[in-house]
Amino acid sequence: MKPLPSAEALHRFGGNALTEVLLAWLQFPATELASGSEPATLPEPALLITVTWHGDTLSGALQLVVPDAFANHAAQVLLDSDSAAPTDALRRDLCGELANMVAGRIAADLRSAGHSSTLGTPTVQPVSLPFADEAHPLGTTFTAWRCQGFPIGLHVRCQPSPA
Amino acid sequence: MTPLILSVDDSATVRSLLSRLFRPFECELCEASNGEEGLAVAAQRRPDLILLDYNMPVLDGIAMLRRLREDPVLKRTPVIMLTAESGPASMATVARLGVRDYVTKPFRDEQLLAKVGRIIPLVPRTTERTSDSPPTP
Repeated sequence: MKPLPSAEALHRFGGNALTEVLLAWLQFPATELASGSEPATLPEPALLITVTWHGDTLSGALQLVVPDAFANHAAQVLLDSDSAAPTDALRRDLCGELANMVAGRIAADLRSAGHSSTLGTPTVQPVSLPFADEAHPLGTTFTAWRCQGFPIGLHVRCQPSPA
Repeated sequence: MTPLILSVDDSATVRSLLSRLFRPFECELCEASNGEEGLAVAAQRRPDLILLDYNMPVLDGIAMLRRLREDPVLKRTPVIMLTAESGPASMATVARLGVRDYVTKPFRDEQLLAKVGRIIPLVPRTTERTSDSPPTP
């Protein structure tokens, strides 16, 4: 059986996926912040987007935390919605799609590492902050980012699939 | 005759981006938000091309594609897959099901237009259509 990806590998997969998707889709560069500096500073209201993946050898999830203001800004930039504020449904949909693309890239990296999996559909929900990393016994990484002046949290975790 | 494109994607954002992308061209776009809806719209409208998302609730892109290929009327409809994941295994699956091409999300507009243009003619509109004028016959 292939070994689980290390926390360093998950960190790299997650960071590459997030920065590539933000830049390619929204033309937003993103910068990673120093470890542990950001979760407490994430403003409310915010959205928590979760995408799971399941495979024969490995399962896991990506969680993205973005302020509502970031979602609003992204929707206005992407959809040129200058006439009316993007609806809550549209903001959530955009964030779900963003997380789906990020998860897709991570899944491709995991497949390259020998772990094929299938993505679930994104779930988007309001989140109470601060959003802190939870203790996970196996591969987990939490990173904080700044993009267009907004803080973003990225949590990637993997564990062996049940036999 | 104006080509008809069916966009099947659970994301309203993506459907909106596709609608905006094809607006300058002499083509019509219809939409569905999952594979089940997509099959119903395809049966009713007989599109010239389907832009199909891979990962959707209710009925995903692969399941819709399988059912499409079993349909005697719709089985030859060209399909371009839009996917967040570009792994070789998933691409091999869709290739076996006769997908003409695929693009990885987030797609570049010119890349998708080029792929669509190889399947249906994409002619720029000569006059701007307004919401209260009827579609060109």
